[in-house]
Amino acid sequence: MNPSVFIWNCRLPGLSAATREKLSTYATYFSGALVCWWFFIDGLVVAANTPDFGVSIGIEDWIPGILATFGMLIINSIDLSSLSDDNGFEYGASRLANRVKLMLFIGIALIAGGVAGSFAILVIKYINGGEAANKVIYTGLTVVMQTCLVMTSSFILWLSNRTDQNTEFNFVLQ
Amino acid sequence: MASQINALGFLLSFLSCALYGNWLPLISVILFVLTPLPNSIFGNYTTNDVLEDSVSHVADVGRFLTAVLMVSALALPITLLHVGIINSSSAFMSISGGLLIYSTMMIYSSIVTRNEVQY
Repeated sequence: MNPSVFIWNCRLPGLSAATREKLSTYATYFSGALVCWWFFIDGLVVAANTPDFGVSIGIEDWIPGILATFGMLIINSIDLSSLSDDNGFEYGASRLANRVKLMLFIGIALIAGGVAGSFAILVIKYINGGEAANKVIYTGLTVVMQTCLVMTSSFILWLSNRTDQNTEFNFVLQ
Repeated sequence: MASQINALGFLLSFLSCALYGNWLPLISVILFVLTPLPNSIFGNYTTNDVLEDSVSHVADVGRFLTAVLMVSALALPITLLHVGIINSSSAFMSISGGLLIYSTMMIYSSIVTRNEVQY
């Protein structure tokens, strides 16, 4: 039996292995489409092409997106099968699983930090920045948009990888 | 037939640049041409190691990069249009020309691979 973390370990009903594989393929395409920075780039281009833009664009506008993308790289580069790597000659979780959990924690913290930072930039620079900054709030919204899309895309990719693992498990059972 | 549609796509995308004297939309065409590349590089990857039981995610990297390039190629003319660097007809011609080029490339590669399987 596949050991599960949660008490509600029901499987998705009515999906064959081939359907799951197809879903996982489309989910990968979809997450790749979401991760693009084009909202942010659009905001930067608007800022560069607007005369007397009310906010100065600096390195701090780039940091949330870079952090979120880096966290996405980390949590989706992890081999998920090593998370359930409990070879039972030791008490407690194995050391490899502990390291995997640490890397997962770092990745998710980077993504959450990116999202929180983008909201902080929106509030500090664009909402509380005075009259001139309120007019150009679109650029601030694009930073929030970018990090939220990176977060959504990384979770979609994570879920599709989980589905992939289940497919392999079913295949082994048959 | 496919080659004529491909030529039509290139004509549209070059017209979108040449009619208005602004050659920035050509980057979108380059991205559209590059779009099938990651799938063709990573898609056929198989490991030689029979004993390796983990699923290879190399093909997933290819799919991810393909989607990134596709969305970039679509979003570049839209961004240029939003700022007003190019006008709407130029953006429309660039996107439709790029989509024609991409679809003919896909059709051609699917025909070629089907013939290989039959052979």
